[in-house]
Amino acid sequence: MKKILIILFAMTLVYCTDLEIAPNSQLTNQNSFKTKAEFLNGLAGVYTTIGYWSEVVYKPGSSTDEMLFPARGADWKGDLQTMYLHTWDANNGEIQGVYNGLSKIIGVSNNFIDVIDASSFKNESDIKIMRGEARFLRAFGYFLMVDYFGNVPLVTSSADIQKNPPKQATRADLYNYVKSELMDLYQNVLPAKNDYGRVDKYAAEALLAKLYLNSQVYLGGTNTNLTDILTLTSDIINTSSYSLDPSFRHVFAWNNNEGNKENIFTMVADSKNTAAENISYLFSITDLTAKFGPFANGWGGCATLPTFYRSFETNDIRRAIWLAGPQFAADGVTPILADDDQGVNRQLNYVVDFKSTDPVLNADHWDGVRGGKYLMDGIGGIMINRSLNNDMPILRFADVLMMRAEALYRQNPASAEALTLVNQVRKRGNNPVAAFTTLTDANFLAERGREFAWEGWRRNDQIRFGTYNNATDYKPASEAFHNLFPIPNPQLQSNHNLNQNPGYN
Amino acid sequence: MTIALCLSFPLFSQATTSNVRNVSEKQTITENNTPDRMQQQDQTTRKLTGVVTDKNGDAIIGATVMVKGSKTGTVSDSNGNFSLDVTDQSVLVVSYVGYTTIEMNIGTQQNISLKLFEDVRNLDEVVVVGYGSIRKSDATGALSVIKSDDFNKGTVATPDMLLNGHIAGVQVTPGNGQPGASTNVRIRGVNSISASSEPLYVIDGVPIDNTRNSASIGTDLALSSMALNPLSMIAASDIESMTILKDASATAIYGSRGANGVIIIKTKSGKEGMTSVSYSGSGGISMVSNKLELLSADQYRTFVPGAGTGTTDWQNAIFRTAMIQNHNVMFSSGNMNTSYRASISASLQDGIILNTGLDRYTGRFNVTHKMFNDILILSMNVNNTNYKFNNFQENQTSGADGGVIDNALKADPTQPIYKPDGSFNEFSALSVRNPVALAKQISDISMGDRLIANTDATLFFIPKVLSAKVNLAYDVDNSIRKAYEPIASSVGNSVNGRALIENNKYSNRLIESYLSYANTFNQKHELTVIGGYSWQEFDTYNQYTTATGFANDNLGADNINGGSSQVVQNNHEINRLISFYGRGNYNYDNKYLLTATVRYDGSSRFGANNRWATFPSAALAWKITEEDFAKDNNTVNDLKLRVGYGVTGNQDIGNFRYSSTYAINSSAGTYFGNTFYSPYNITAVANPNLKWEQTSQLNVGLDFILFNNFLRGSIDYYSKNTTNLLLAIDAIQPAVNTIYLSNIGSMTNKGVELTLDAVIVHGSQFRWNSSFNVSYNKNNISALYNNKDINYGIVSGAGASGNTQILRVGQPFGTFYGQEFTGIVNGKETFASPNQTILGKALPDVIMGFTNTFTSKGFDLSFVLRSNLGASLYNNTRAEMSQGNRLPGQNTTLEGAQFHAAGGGGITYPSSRWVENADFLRLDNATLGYNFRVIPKIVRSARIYITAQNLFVVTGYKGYDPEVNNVAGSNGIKSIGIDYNSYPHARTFSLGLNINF
Repeated sequence: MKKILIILFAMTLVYCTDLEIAPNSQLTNQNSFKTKAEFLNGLAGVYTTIGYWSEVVYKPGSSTDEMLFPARGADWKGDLQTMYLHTWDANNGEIQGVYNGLSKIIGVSNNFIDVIDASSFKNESDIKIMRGEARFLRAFGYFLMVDYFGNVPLVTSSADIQKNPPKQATRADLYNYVKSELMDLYQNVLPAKNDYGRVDKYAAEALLAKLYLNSQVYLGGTNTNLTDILTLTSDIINTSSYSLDPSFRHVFAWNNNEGNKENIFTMVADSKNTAAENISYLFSITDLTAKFGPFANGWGGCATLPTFYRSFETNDIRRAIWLAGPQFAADGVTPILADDDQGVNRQLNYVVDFKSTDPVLNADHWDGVRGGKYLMDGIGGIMINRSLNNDMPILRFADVLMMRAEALYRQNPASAEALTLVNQVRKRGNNPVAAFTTLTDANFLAERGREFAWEGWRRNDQIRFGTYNNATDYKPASEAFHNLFPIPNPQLQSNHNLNQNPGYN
Repeated sequence: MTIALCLSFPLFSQATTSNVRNVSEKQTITENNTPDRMQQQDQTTRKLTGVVTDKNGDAIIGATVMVKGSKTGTVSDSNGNFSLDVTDQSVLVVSYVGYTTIEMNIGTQQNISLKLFEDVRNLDEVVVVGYGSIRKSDATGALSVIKSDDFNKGTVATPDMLLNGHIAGVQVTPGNGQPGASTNVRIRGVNSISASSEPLYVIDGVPIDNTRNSASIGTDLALSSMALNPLSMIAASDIESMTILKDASATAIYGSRGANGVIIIKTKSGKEGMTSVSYSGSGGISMVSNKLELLSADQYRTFVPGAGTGTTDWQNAIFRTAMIQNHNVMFSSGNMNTSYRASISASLQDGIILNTGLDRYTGRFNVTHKMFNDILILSMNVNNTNYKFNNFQENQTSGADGGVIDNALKADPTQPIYKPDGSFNEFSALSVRNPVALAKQISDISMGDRLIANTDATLFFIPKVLSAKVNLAYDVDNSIRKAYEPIASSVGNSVNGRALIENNKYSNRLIESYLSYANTFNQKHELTVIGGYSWQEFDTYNQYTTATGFANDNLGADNINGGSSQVVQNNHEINRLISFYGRGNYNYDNKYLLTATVRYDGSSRFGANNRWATFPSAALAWKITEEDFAKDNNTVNDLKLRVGYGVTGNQDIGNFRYSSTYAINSSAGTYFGNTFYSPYNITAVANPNLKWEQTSQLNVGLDFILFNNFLRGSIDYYSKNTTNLLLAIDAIQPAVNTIYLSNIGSMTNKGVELTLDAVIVHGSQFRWNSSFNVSYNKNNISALYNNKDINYGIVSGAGASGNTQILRVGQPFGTFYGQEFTGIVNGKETFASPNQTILGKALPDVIMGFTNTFTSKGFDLSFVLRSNLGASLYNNTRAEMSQGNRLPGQNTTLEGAQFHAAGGGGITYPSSRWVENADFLRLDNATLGYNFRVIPKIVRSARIYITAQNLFVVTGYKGYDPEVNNVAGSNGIKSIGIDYNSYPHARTFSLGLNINF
């Protein structure tokens, strides 16, 4: 009996040292990408990183003459006001956010490219296109890095850089990298036609044109790429199926994804199935449920500036992107009542000129014209996760026309084709504004402002036209070194290979 | 089962190891006279009379006199006399609280005089430590024991509240006053920044997992994110004792889980020779202990001319006098082979806020069976608690509209609760919701069962010397939470009703085996060695379903598929801990004691490069009073010096945090054409070097008994150094995430603990026991990533932004940070400087507990006083209430109203204005009881008592209560010491009855 017991005990004295456990509800590199269909999910993971574009619109955007994110009492108080005043430093959280957001586009793209390269499907044609799309998104991330930060590390693999920090590349190195990637992509890799929401070769051409348009900003000297821009834009205009949408408003409609001809490179948004709060922060709609329905929700802090608002002629149909003055319910008659900052219940009124004596740091909640660019056709009665159905164009056909016009204008300010192109955009949809008869720097930049207001390109335009450092409504003039953002301090501290951009030390 | 795949291997089967000292639960004075049970049956019974006295000859009233091995027994009367039916072979067992239990043969005596000696030394009591038990006098580490008699009385939701105030160095802070709220138990300070600082709980040899997630539901749902405290699923009445292991030499046997200390819970079991049936019950009432002072309706009208004409005290409207009842029925029995104890308990505890409370029904069965002349001992402990947790809309950290308490503090006091038609009076467009409606309309109930079961077998290869033990355990907590915000409610209206169903299952399985060897050589060398292996796997499954858009409110969450849009999220994770461990105790001549332990732990939570870790410890003790020069000293009766050092770990860092995985989230994907694609989203930057947090601890202690056994106690000094603290650091970019987890921080805790116990008066008519403990702890952050400050402790409320706490090298964890407030000038807050500065700290310097018990002639009175000194709290509630822009429309304090009148608007949240001193002195518990002296024969004892809990608190703190800990995390760090709309603490009075048959 005792022997049996001893044997029984010995059998229970088992041992096992297996500690390999994979998460049940998440995938690892070991158990993913075993089937070809998964690569579309992987590609979707790369495309979701450009959801960050929605933050690009208001973070760098609020450093320009088109947008102010004031502190309204204690609300919104923070780094966004230093963005407007050009008083940011390397600890600015918004700038850190931009740096990290763009880095994520690059990092996630690198990972997907390496996943493909390690896969047995890597030589299949559709997988090769996906790899090209990831390279495009990585080049787009680096394009914005060139534009905002200038000098950052160039990393093109997913190998661990935490223990071996990468070296800093120069703005010119990065420029050349983006240029060579985009050239290869449009010439050899990307197809002429791709699904809506995925990039094709024209997106690479448009982005390369954008890079070339700013050559003198990135490289100094004069722009030697104007002819290249004409070549690229003529290819898009003549061989692609992209065109100007006859309706300006439809470009930003909640159902603007179907049959869209204008959007070349798009941030796809859906109220239910894409990232939360993707656009809604741009709009002041919490008080406007009577106008836009009970689901209306938004941050409500962001405004445009009086000068920028007034640059829209009163008969310009594009002026309707703004919510200005007394507000009415959907019937257009019933005033919307709300409590003002004094606690008085009266008709909601977004005043053009800020009433506060301290418009940037302590604005009144009703100060400033609000944005409604993506809202004008309604929100379809659906608003989940505080996000909208409206897709956001990053590069669209109107910009291709305007880039071409600008290249022609810079070659010859009296170019007739340039004038025609600008008026084509300006008068789209029988817009009753008067056509331009001449082009000047001032009216060119102002026209870009009206066409692309709150679309994320204003900083790029203002720097190229030399107005970024000017004093504007509530901001004094700033020094030219602000044309590059500082490398965020956390990066300088964690990667000792990095040097700060000039002016920030 | 994974284990089946592993090798079967007779580990240590040749090892020359053994058992912990085999010590009986009782001190047997006449241990050679155990009668032969077989002969006893033939004896004729007769009457025995006797008297029980103390050493001075004074009668002891209420002593239990039992015939060993039977259920015959009685208690001594007011003169100490008793009479009992016995045989010549009977052995009497005589016991009384505070005295050493004796056993005595009767023989032919007709009348017997029994003398009990006070158990002042209490040193030979046996304490349960990890993997065995030891005599307390042989302990080399810093450990404390509390037995059920000394537990805090009254209704408590969790076992940790039973020991609050009794153990030096143990700080128990309730999260808030809600029944079932989480508690923070800190043994010797805070040991971690981003991992858990909670101790390990071991119940009857089974380490349990108390990590509970709460649904990460969107802010718009606005339900409470507080998970029910899993320790509340253990009935207080089933606990026999708790041992608190404090220093590393005691906890290192638990290796990677030992750094925060260990609380070992032993449940009650049946006793050989005792059959008893008992009922204990209590009923009581709770009420809010403190209300905040707001503008009354009349005051409100003076500040807001157009205000309403009604008068509503909104705090009174949400608070109530809550009923509490507890019942426990227990029966137990035992003979020489089998003993068991079975109990069922019901604890029904209503909360002081409408529609909150915690109901628990617990069944427990503990059984032990000995076979083959005690060669094989089998035991099984099974506990199931069925619970129902009624939560409320708490919404502490988000949403300008707030929850029940927030709205009770801002609702207009001139408005009625109900409209004339009986419907709730809602305040449209003012960010105020009717708090009574919130409490009554929204239902949020979690119901579940927690089963903790283990069975073990001990086989002696050599009786009393060499044995092997196998322990199998299963612990599962299975619950369903159902919440519904009706269409009729202000929060559910805009979405046509909103429902949540949450399914949670937490389980763990344990397989453990160890060998024990105990032997004494040459009468002077006593050796005890254990060595073993354990395998434990933890399985967590959470699923949340939310839905909106209901046709009507008829079915609520039970018809979640009736909602027009549903969102489902779930998560399943497993982690495994595999360990080898050993401990040796060597005792030379009962003077010099050496303990050495080592544990080799492997955890699936660590990175591939750091899966396994070794945690060693060693301790020495010297019983000075056993030396010839110190023996038989009446001033110093006992003196023992202890020194210990060890290394322990904290592996409570979450699962898979070393890895880079893909999450697939269908609500954050994209469209290609018109086809939706769920994305593979990379979650994190991998860190294959990720490992446990590590604490090394030195402890020096002295145990003493002084002045002719009048005073006993101990004093300990400790110094802890915790390194490899897990912190999120900035990932070098470009990377797939902004942050990166690394073992990079360190902190120290240094402190002194003193415990004193005295029997101040020990007459037979009157006894006064007094126990005092005080501890001092100093926490200091010694290293951070790049030694860079980390801001955390996010502030909440309308217009709130920023953090109020900072981690800074050279400062303690929980340091408050903000602007130095200097006053209000012309309706504006002014500050000493625009820069932020250190404003105080959330951790106390000193914690104290003082317990006194008086007994006389059947009456007993006891009370527990508790105090914390040196801590501050951030009063986020007062900050939000004091804004000048609350008026008109939202109620405020007089401070806020005056600020409003002076033209003030918003306030600066991170400011010294809201950091308040949180020192307090609390009368935690006071109990007056009476043991009936004249009772029917069938009743062994009967007692009634009244208990008051939280009778008063002396504090300068302006919030509801200075002991609070809202869970507000930011930057991955749980803050401590922030009070925002916390559920207030209750004051409870209860009347109870214990009756024993």
